[in-house]
Amino acid sequence: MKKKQLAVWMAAAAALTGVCGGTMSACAEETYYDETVTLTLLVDQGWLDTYGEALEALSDAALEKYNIEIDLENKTNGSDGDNLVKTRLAAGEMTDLLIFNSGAQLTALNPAEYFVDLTDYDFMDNVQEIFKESVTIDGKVYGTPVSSSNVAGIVYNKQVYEDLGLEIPKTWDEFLSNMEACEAAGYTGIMGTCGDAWSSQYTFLADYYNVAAAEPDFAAEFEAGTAKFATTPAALRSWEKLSDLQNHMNSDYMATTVTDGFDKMLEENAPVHWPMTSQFFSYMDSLSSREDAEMFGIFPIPSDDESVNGFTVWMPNGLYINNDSENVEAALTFMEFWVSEEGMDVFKEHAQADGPYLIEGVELPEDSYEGVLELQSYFDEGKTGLALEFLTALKGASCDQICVECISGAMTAEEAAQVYDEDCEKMAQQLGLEGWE
Amino acid sequence: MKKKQKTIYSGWFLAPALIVFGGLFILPTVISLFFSMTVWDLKSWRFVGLDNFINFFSEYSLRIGIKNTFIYAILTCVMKVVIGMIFAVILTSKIRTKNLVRSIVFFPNLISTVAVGIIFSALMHPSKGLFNEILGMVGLPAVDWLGNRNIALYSVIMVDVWKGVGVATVIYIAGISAIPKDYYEAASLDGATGLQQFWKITVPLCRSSMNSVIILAFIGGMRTFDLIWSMTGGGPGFATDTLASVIYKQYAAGFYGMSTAGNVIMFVVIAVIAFPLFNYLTSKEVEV
Amino acid sequence: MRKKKIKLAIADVLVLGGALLIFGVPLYFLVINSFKSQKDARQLSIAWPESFHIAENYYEAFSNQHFMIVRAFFNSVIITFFSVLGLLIICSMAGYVIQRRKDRMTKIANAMILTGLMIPPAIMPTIWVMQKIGIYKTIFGMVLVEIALGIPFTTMLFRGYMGSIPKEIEEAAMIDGCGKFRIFGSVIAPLLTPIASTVVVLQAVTVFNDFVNPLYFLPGNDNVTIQLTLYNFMGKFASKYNLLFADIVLVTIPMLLLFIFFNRKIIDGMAAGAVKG
Repeated sequence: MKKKQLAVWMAAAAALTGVCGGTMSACAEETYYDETVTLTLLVDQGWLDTYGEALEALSDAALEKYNIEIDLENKTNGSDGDNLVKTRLAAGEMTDLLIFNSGAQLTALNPAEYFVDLTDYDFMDNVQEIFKESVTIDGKVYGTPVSSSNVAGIVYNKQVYEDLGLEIPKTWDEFLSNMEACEAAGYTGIMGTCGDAWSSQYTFLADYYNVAAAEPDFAAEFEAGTAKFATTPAALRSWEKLSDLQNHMNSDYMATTVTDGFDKMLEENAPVHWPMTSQFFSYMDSLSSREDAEMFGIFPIPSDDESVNGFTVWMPNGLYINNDSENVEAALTFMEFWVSEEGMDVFKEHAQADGPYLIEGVELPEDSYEGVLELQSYFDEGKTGLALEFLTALKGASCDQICVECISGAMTAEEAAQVYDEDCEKMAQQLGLEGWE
Repeated sequence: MKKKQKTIYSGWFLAPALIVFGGLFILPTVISLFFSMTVWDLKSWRFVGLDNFINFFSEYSLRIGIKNTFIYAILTCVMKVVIGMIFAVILTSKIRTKNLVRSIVFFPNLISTVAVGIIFSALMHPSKGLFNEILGMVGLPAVDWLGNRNIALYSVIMVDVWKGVGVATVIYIAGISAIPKDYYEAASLDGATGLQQFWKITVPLCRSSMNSVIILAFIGGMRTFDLIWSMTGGGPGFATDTLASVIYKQYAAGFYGMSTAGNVIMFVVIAVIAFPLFNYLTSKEVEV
Repeated sequence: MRKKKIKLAIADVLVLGGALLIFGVPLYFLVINSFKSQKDARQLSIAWPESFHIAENYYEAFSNQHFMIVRAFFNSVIITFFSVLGLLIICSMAGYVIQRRKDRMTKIANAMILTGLMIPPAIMPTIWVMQKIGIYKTIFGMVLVEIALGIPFTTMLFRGYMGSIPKEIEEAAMIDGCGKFRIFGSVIAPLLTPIASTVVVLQAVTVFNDFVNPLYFLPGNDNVTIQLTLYNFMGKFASKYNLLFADIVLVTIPMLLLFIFFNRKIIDGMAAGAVKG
């Protein structure tokens, strides 16, 4: 308690004496706190599993450099965790720092009310524009990236592709016939892990690059309520692709969890494909071995047109600062450190990249997984686009369950698209979007 | 008489219960009636009338949810009533290990619901789980316990009964132990068989225990949430959604007003069924 | 006579065997998997471990997140102790009066009990009320919430048990010149010990194992409760089953001890109509 009071006093003193006043820099260079400032940080367990070590290293470095210490609070993943964040924000009990999704889910938190506006800070120049867009609401920027970007597509077994002489499919039909070829050779066509409903969304969500290629304005029209999944052929296609998977999955796909999935990909006659994120590689590494991770590659969800072939990209979670925190200044210092070259060096030493980083001048490390290094060319050629959830705040709350219904054939693609449109309508009304009254 | 009641059984004895319960349960419930008609984020609210109720009723998973809630409540209730009774009769018989077995039967209650959910999800795993291994050993085909949308709900119900039957058994044991032994002796002399004694003496005389089990199990079943959430999350698809899980999901999505409206609806649904059920049951009780 | 004995012995074996099979196997599964390596435990089988990692797993579960479990244990015990104590005092008084008085007040009280049993608590409005009176995010507030949620069932138990205590006891005490508070405090309360044991076990288990309510009413690292430590091992992509199971075992032990201590008395408390509506 004493510490906190001191920090408040110090922040007040700093403001009064104008040490940091005037310019919008967090004056990191000179700062070394006489008393250790402890910043609380709320983050979900899934993130910690992967980046916990890197975050601890950053925290140690910050303690040495600024006398700032990070006290972690972990929360559960998924909707339970989101729920907790919303409840704590609403109740005014948020930690100093929060690591949370960027994009639609951030918008749903109503950041203008709860988070510090970072728009004018100098260190934001280090952050790439594409990330800033995903944490910008009404022209104000609220977060910094906490890891690399990642893409989603179809993870595939390179060895099997080589053995069967298969090519990376350029169209959806080629993909379907690849799966049939795999099945003919005794493999399972594709992995289904509906036991964790969220993972069933990838085929649908990662197809957005193809939707946008056909309908560049879909995101804006969708948010305005003028375009629907059920009535836009290119968008309906995403649902159709999902329902095409039905007869190609492992027989126990409904109860298989993602954790099981990693083991299953290594079994005999394993599924050859798995709609997943490029985070696959680091998880496979940690659950099994680097060699096993290198057995796989990832390709984009194929479109219907050979010339359209790109990845849908996910922005990493962002780091946000609580408006009501007593330690805003120290939090800004820590944030600035994280996005600096020095901070990123510490981070990279303890974490693997799932795709290009979003800090200016920070390259994809050469020792990254081969599957991840291969992504760079897509980025260089501009064959990437953001996932829908980063382009509009509108994402239906039951998306994962509807995807399971569609993948399992309980709903046809048309029905699923329609139910999802209704689901989004409810969200739009809650968000108070225009044109949905 | 009235006066004596007031002097010994002073209303002051009720005051602490009324204050705590009134302040932290009744009051929020009453407030929820108001907030169910708003779009609300704890700090500010916007009045929307009955929109939340209309939206809640148009929720895709609601119909499945209501149906599942009833199946769940009725089945868990019936199974606990019947199985609990059977266990209790066995455990009040002359069996020597009854004290040990009583403890074993009660034991699942000591484990948290979430933990029970985790354990059984593992046991019911389609390819690795123990359940299917056993089925395989006796030559039966594997069952996708939690993945098959027609079975998943019943799998969760089974686990609920596994966890909850201990309390029902204890309640019954208490009821059966209180039946005077001479009733049975007299019946024995008259030549009544064990089964006749069970139907003519045990069942009617532990009626009040049975009512307690029915009420507790039924209401518990209507409100069920933790176990479903930790085992299936309402899935596969929407197959195991219940009223409570639909409400929770609204809440998790940040729709506080709509979720509060759902709570109000749930209250009405339960009240319409449970109050008459309760009155019916108590009117049928026999004094020992 | 001999035949009967044999029959009884067979029944004995059958009952014990059946109970162990139905209730013991899942627990065996839990414990055995908490001994395995992470990879081995992912197989989710009841097979004997390939290699034992008992000390390692339990130490890891115990020391995880800077010995979070110790703080969590401390918080949970405090909350459980005071909630149960509060429930015993508040509900024994309430149950006593409600069972004895037969007037409009009892009717209202009974209706409230039933309502409380039935409706799920309204979480957001409760937070709102707690904030207004300044007890949100405090152990004290959490205890009050647990008490409020436990009042209906506990009062029902006490009310039922009061039915087995003859009214004449209070009447005699009154004639002896005892005041109303002394009648309850020194005459009635001691007679309620059996049902109190039942309440202790049932409510302690409920509060100690509560997962959802502390999540909402008691956020923050300093306030972590024991069930939330399970989160530490449930990842989005990969769950550490061996540690998760070890944690479940650790978290269950305190209630097991409590149960062993009070075991015999639970059924006494529920005797004759104790849980009558």
